Amino acid sequence: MLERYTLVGLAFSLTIILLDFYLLRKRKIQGRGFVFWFIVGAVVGLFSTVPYLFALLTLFYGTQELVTAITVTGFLFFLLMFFYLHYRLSELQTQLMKLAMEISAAKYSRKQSVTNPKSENTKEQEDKDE
Amino acid sequence: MSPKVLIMIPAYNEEATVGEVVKSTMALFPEFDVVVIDDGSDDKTVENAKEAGANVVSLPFHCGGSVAIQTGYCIATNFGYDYVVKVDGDGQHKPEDVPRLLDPLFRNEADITVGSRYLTVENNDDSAVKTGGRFFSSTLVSMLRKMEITDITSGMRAWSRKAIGVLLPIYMERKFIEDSVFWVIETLLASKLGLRMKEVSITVLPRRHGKSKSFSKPKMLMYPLRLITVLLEEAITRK
Repeated sequence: MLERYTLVGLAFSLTIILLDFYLLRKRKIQGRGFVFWFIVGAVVGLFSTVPYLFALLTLFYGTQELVTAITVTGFLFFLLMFFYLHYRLSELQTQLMKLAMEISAAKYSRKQSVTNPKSENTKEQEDKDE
Repeated sequence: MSPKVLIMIPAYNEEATVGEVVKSTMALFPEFDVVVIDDGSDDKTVENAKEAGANVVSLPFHCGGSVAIQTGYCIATNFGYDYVVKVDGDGQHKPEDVPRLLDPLFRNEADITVGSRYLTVENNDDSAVKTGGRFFSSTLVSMLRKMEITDITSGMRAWSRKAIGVLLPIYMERKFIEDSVFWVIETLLASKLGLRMKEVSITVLPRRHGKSKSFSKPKMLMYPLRLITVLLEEAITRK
């Protein structure tokens, strides 16, 4: 008879892995993301079906309570994810701002060269000719 | 041959003042090009600027003043301007001060000129908190970079083609810069890269409409901390 937490863990693990495969097939997730979530699903499944691994976790942290070991692991994992997402967001913000800037400048340049062809290169050429 | 000068006016929701700023600038300097850089305004800033006769560059959404200024640098580079002057769209900067900023550049005495409110005492109309913040940042940067700057946060500035040619590629490489520390970072960069900076005295008028976007109260409170992190970042990342 399986314990209830094993069943919940297995269901969670299966859901993540199936969803991961589904999104990969739909091309909505890429290689690195697929591998990451597959590993997360597999680890949850493994810990749910092999309770002995939890004992290893308590040994590793030197705690007596299993729940403490799980909470600490979860918290550290959460912080790591938060750090990574913060970095990614900041990087994306920079890229987005640069894109906005370049598009606006390019649109303006194009508009100016259409409405006033003398404004850009032609004017420079005239100055050189002088 | 007269030099090509661009006056850029970044504006975000400045419908009440931008038209007047554009008109007075164009009337004073008909030989210069005036461009309003609309930072994703959701009022009639664009319409009013166009009506007043300015060319308008529109950012697709509100990106912040630092991005609007860098867009101005891009345009100056694309169109081969010799000098660029920045005047705020909120009507606080007097277009009459533009020649003071341009003179040292024309005479090749500087690569960047900064309009300072503190070179003469009578210009100082700001609150004690704002003045204290500016004094703190200007003194700190002056001491660290061994330079003399009294108004590091002043947004009324002018650049030579050389200065923009040096600064723009660096901005394109580095991460997004928040508005509140943009001028501090630019001053540090200019000093590191050997660009010559000069301050000239200007008068800044009190804001008649709306609120300052770069220095809201929470930002002002966090400013000393933000400044110290910027200085640390610059020290750590310096080559």
